[in-house]
Amino acid sequence: MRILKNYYIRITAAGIIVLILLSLPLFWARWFCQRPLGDIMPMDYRTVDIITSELVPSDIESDPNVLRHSMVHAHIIYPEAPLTLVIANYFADKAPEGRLSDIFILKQTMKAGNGYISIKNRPVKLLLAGC
Amino acid sequence: MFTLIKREICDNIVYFIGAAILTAILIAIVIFMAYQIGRGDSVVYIGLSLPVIVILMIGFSGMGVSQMYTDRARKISAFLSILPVSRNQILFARIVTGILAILTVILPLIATCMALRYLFAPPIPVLSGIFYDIFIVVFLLGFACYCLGLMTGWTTNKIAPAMACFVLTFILASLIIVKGFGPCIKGILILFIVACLTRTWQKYTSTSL
Repeated sequence: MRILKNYYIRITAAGIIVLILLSLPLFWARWFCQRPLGDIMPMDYRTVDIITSELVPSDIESDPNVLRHSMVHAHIIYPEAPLTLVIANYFADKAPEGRLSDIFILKQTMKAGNGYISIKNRPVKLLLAGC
Repeated sequence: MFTLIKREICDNIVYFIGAAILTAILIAIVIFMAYQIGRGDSVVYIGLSLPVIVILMIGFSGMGVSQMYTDRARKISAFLSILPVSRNQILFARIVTGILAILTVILPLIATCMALRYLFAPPIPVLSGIFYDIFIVVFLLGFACYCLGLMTGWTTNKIAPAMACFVLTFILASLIIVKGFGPCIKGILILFIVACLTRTWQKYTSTSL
């Protein structure tokens, strides 16, 4: 029984280690291949147009006076490569006025100093910047 | 226990000296960054510090490999087992030594950064959260690399653990770039450390000396 218990612990530990160490090279492989794969993709596959969109009631769409039918257009947007890494998002979020920051810069002519203000029912620190 | 830890420190004194030298270099870089931060782009300096962190991580994993490989090759555990010392105590002393080596780097850097923050940073703590996150993640990453070294070093083959440890440490260190310094990477690293220590403990205690 003890051997079986040790066996399960050993398998679980090895599985966690392999999962973490294998997922990182796979991530980097995807990251490096993403842009070249996007570049060799034919233009027809990068965009989708649906006419009519079926979001508008059919009696309006079928009206003979309609000059232009409703349309849905979608295309692939490639984000800037560094922005797909979480480290870039982390610093952007923590910087003043970032998503996770409680510091905002007031862009108007005031005497420089520190103050406190409440925005969205949560206390935030306010950095006043005279300009 | 203190005798065991002292013996481990004496055996691996080279790594402690190397850690102290690297810490001095890092402190010099941090002070230089603090003086330049108003003039240049701080992100560039943060990017420059990443290779230094990778070198440190390789050093920590090398220390783990060295400890376990020396033990296996020279039968140190077999010698110590004739004394009233259990294998768990030997492994625990080894892990404490690794933590001390990591703290040799981390603690002076924290003190330097805090001092520079009070000297140069604005009164509003814009960067305090980032500092704590970075130091916690670097400590956890260093300890994870050390545990990886402990795990891969318990073998009689000389080349395989060194190469495996080097490659795996490089892969693991890239986790900082992939996941940043948020709570997610802390969870992943703690999970990895627990798994590595469990695997090392099982391999170490179940092998016949």
